[in-house]
Amino acid sequence: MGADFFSDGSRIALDVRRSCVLLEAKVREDLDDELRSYVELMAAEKVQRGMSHEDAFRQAWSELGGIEQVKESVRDVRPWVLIDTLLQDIRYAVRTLRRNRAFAFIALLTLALGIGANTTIFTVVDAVLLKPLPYPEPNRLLTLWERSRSDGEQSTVAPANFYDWHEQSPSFSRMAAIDPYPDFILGGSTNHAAARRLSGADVSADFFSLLGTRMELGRDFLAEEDRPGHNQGPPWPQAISKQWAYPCTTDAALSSRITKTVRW
Amino acid sequence: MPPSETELLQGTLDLLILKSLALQELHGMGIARRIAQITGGTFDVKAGSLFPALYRMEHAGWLVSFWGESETKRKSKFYRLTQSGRKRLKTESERWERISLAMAHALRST
Repeated sequence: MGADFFSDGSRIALDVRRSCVLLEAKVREDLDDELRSYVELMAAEKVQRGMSHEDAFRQAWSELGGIEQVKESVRDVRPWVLIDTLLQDIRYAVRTLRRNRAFAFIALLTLALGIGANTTIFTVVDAVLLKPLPYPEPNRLLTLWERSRSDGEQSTVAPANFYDWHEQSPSFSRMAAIDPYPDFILGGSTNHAAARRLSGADVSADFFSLLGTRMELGRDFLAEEDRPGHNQGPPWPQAISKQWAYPCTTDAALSSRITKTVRW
Repeated sequence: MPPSETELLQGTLDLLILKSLALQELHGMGIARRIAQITGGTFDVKAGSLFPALYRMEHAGWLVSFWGESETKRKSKFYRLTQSGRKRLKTESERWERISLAMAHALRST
């Protein structure tokens, strides 16, 4: 587990630290010179007041209060002291995790699960709530249902009712019907590898053009083909749209076998 | 009041340093002496407080430092106010005056 991660982290920490050390050395030298000159100036004052050279310097140094302490107090206000402290914390964390592999594993697992769960939930929320439907003007799309008067349950729209709504309702610019049926297996009677599970539905003539879906193959229904009693003739090659098609349907030979008749 | 007993608030020290540099550029020792002078000897700034403050203020952009020669011909690091340091001195002085007036007023009230 993560040995590479650990050493990588340490190397980056080391690089940052090295540049800090170089900068630090320059400032330290500067500060050293500055403090020495400070002490010399103070001693010079004392000499002027009649003190011996030796005593003046001794007193000046003691008044400074320890050159290392002063340097340390300057060091504490430098901005990269924060970085240094952060690096120390990171090194400590890495050492602790290395010592306690079980804890590190559980911590990583917890993080992984947490991040994974969040990503999954967000993906679903994004697809269901945030992303618009893959159709033009999705805010104008509505689903209509029938509701039983006795128990208030949603029920299938009777075809005759659909025709009445379609002809008479002024509230909708267009209306189409869809009747999904359970997944089915397509093809594979001779070649089992070609078998595909597909989702299917009966739809009315307007359906694809209402959604603004482009046909990948074949053609859309015609209005005159969508009439009760029209399913007498031979079945025609049916249109396949991208949203509904599986990869295999780009195979022309297979698509010619996708046929469908209108039931009503 | 003995100077050693006077504990400088950080803001006060910054303001005194800014004030001491208002007229001329000074080295660290000069700043300490100037502060003692303008406060009538009340404040004796020690190196342990002075240099961290100088470093912090230079980093904040209120001061710039450069190496020069002291009056006794010694190589010394001098400090000078920047434009932003002057601005800071003005606003801090105003703020300090307001506070000291208010405090004096408060302490005199019965």
